[in-house]
Amino acid sequence: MSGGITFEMLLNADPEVWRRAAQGWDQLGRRADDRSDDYASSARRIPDVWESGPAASAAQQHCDGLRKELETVFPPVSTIAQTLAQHANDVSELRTRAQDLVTQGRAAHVTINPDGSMTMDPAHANEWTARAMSQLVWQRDALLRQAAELDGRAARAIAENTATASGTPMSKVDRSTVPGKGTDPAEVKRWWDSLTPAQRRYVTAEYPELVGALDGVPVASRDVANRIVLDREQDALTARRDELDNREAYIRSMVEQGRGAELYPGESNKVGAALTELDRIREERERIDRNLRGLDRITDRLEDPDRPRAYLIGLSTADDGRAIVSVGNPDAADNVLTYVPGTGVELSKVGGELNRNDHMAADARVADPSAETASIMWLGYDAPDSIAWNAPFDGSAEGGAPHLDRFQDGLRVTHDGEPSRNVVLGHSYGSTVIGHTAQQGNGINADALVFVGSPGVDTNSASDLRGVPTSEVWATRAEHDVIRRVPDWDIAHGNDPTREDFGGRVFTSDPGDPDNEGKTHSAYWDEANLARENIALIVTGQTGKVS
Amino acid sequence: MSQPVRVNVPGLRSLGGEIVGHGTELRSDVRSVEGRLVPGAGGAGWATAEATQRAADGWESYLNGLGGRIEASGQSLIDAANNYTASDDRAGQRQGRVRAR
Repeated sequence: MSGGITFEMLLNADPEVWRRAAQGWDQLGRRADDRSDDYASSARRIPDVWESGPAASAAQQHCDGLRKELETVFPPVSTIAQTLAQHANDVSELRTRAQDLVTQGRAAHVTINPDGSMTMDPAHANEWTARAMSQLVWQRDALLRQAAELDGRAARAIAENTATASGTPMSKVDRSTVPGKGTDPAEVKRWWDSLTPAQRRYVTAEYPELVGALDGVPVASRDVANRIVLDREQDALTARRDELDNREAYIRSMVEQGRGAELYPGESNKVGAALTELDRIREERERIDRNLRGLDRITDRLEDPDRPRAYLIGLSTADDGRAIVSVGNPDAADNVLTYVPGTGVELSKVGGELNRNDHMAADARVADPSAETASIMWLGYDAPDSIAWNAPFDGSAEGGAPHLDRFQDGLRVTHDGEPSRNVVLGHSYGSTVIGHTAQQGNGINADALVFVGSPGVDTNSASDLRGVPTSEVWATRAEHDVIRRVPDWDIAHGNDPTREDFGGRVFTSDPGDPDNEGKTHSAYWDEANLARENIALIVTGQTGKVS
Repeated sequence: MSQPVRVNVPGLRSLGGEIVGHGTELRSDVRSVEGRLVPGAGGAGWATAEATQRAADGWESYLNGLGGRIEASGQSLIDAANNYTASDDRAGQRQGRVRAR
């Protein structure tokens, strides 16, 4: 036996107490972050009311110091919340395995007592039972060792983020030493490993937009950094929206007063200039509203206490926006699914994709409750806006491929313990992105690929897809999916990967609605669709059961 | 040469009050999670539970202290505003006495 953890503790472990504690820390982190925003807003206004003088300068300096202190609270507190949430998952898995061991013992005529000691059924005291008991003892000790290791790791992470009387120390790191975006994830990981905990806190708090976007930084730290980015983006977009509202109100008010000409003194066509500016304001405000809608959906998911913890691995509001959200921590999971959505998906429409991702994570837990599965919604590329205008072309797939390639490599280098089973699933155009990724360089870093409702993956043969065993290239297409209307032409992403001559393994999904082929294209994640069970079996490595 | 002093006294007093409020709210935030940061009896025996208890103690103490210092920083702005008013009043009274002579 090892450490202070007993078999009885594992049998009686209650993951909920850890989850609730994690929620408490999450709440503390969010509240402190709100106070930090409020305080910063007030401190910024000091020069407005106290413009100059030595006392004013001293007060400003003092308030800036306090503002800095407040800003540094969120990363360590959030890290403690994450650690406890992960500990809850670990405890749950350990308890399941302890219970399984008791069941195995019963089948082998060995009673495993709550304290972990074992007794052989006297009626079956023979060599076979003795061998079984010896095996059970080995499994019990291995389980206890693992429990002690996980417990020790969580305790250390929490201790590293515990505040002293002066807060949590940070050590300055020069911005120029942070690896650039696009750096090889293995190199990024080496850089990260070279930092002390105080330096990691510093780079997360000071350069969240850099750290959050770096493949090769552990997911837990990217999550903390990206939550800061999310908060800042929401604040910045809301502030910009207010500015636009004020400017619009001002223009309208000036026009109503008959003073429109004063707005554009250098312009010959003043009415035209006003209309152009109002149009520009409307367009920008619509874009902001779309992005805010997406950011709000992400926030709702991150803060939902009734669903498994989500990790924000990537975020940007550039172009149509990017978001990478994981249900569960892939660095600690046994199975990792990367889901690449298709045409028409952008930040503002991320809510539906997050739901699909939740479904797949839940399905995998049902398919294999003894394993931890993380499911990642990867909107790390600029998806085509329209099936008719952009989707037939390769541009988005070409643009997304290097990002997906690096992301998958990053998952490998930051994963703890035994390598996970990494599966990449693409829906619709998302499968085309995967196809491009798997045909570039040394291919895609994955154990299996899954194409769902694919227009084609820009090759006519599964054997052209590198980095993944050909026997683990899977595809499904509903009988009435509108995607079947896409011709099998090489100029339109190539053949349907469910064709026999493609050489992949085809699995079943519900046929869908013959009267609504468009809806069928999006029905793979509907309740009880056969595709869901099959996807869960592939993700959890139970490929023999796939139908 | 000393810096000239420009101050909006009512604004400074109001901003000071706002900042005092942020400190008070921070301390109230800490109170709202008291007892909810640790796993309680369900975590007995786990090193993680002991570390969490120490973290909760450390953070509660630090954030309460920080909240107090923020309150004090706001109060110092209010005090400064009051001092300006008092100093202005005193100057006014002196001027009045000089004129009366």
